[in-house]
Amino acid sequence: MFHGSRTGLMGTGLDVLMIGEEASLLRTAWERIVAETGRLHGMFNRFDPSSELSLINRRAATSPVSLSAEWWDVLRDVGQYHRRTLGYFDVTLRDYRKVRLDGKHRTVFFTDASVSLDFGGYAKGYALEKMRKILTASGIRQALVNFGNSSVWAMGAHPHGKTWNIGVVHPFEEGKSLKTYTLFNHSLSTSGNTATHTRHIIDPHQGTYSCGRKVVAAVCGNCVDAEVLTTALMAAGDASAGKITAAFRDVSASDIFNLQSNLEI
Amino acid sequence: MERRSFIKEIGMMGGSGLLVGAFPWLYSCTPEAQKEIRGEKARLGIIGTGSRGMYHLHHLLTLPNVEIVALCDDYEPHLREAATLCPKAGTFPDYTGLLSMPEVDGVLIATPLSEHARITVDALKAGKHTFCEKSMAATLDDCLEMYRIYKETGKVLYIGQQRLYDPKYLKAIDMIHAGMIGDITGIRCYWYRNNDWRRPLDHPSLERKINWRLYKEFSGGLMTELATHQLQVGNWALKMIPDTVTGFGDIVFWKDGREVYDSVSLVYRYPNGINMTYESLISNKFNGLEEQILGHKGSIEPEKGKYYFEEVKPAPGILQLINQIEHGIFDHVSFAGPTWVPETASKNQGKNIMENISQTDGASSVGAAGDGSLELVDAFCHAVITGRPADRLVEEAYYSSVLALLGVQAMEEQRIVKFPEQYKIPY
Repeated sequence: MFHGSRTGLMGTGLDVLMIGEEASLLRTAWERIVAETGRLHGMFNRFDPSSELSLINRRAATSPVSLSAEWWDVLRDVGQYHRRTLGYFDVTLRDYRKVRLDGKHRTVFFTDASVSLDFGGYAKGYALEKMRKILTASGIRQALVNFGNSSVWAMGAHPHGKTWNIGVVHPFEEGKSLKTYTLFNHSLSTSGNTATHTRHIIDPHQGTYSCGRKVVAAVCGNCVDAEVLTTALMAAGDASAGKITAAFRDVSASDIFNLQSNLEI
Repeated sequence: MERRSFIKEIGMMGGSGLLVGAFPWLYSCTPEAQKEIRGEKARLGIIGTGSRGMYHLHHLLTLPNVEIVALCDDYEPHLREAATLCPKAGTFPDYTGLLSMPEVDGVLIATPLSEHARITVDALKAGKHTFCEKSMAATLDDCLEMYRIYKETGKVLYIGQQRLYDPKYLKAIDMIHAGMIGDITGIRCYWYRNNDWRRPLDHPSLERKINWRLYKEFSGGLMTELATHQLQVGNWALKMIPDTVTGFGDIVFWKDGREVYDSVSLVYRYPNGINMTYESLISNKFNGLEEQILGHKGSIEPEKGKYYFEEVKPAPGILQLINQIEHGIFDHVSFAGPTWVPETASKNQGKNIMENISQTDGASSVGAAGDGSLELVDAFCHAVITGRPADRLVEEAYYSSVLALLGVQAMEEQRIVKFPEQYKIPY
């Protein structure tokens, strides 16, 4: 067993627990995970003026910006998710239709100078998918990856069980959990407001923050799906939830917890 | 903090025996030592009843083991003000008269810096136990002379370095020496306030007498009046003395005829390569005051009573899971939830060194409440009764005073000053 822990990646902490006998193999896998996550941290960092994302955000409203192969795939991917989630998952946080992709020249252009891309509800899922590939390539079959509590990848099963059983904590009542999910090669993503962290998810249709006492959890076979789905369900009203979820394949569970707390905050 | 609770606090900080081992000058604050002097009184004379003298006098009047028998000041209004609080005390315009009083066991000196050495030396030679405000003296030779006479006479000498009696500093240094923040890699001391550092005058002719802090003839300015407190913390934390200092100072804002700098920036370099920076500015109070002790694992801000770790410990859920696996248990763990946002440098609120921390914004130029000053004068009264000097206290004060003076020298001569060998004492 090997436990690696790092903070300062994508604004949160990363814990990877790998099950296996060969210590050097596990350590090498951890080192590769740290290197790759560090790279993705830079790639999705819109605050670093030298990142490709910063360049896109600065220039794409003036003239089309050429994209690397990876960025081209990511922007196409988030466009598809935007359609699948009825526009509730939106990396522009306002109106993704103002982002124009040109497949012939592999460029991106913003039709409005106010457009800026933010991958807050996507990047951790993307990173988990990359970590899953590193773990698989390293021959590891059992692992639990916790990326900032909100994004979990459970590979295989707990060494003494048939699944990994992970609970979602109640954000307003200490010691209580909302639900426990049984995971086997699943990603568990959680999104919500806490007592100290409110108003961070925006409804792109209304331009208003989700500020209710709401927590959303989803279990999917794909880490990006889980990440995107919870972000969209958090922004959308409960009425659209069924329709959004139905557009995703391989969803084992998706729950919306509308919480009433006795605690006044 | 109440006197009794300080003694209790000392007891709770890992047992008084342990603590006194590390900070021997605290012996007089222990419950055992307090028993020794029950019912006895230290008979004190106060020399200098200006703002700082009065601050101490107010503290002394709350203590059980002291009687103020004499007062001295060469400025009549100050002497009169003190006398109204102690009507039975003899009053003297000249300290030699006070020193000749056989019923005076000890003296507390709160005069301008330039007077410290002469009065302290005369008091010790007259057989009086002596408390002298910090800094020790205005010159290196005077500091050494005070130390020499202290050792020669065997009398008690206390210097007003109240951080040595401030519970949050004691606890912070204890944590540092226990390795909690790892290896010390840097020290940042600063004191920022925004005021002219002047006292009101009854008559313009009193300018140099009342505002002595602003004139080189009497004072080393920010270095001797503020920095000594903070430089002492650096030495205390590192258990060593810097061997080099350099820096710059100037009068950048208060161009009102004063002679001492209102802005200073210095670097003190320790033999192991660690730098202690010192900054003070009295035309901007944004940063307040602090002595940040920086280690490879964490940081301590004793003035705020806070400590901070560099790395945040992994999520408890993961540790729980590891524990389960190691014990062959399969169970669920709950840690999933909205993104955990770690404390970053700007957001890291830190943890409190201890409960009930009294803080100061550093704006007062007289003294703050709960900063160890009361405990310091209480300890002095104890020592006056027992005649037992406070181990290591003078050494701590000596080096912080000397470092302040070397800093002044480095700034005035605009050069790198090495610590002169002839001014080294056992530390």
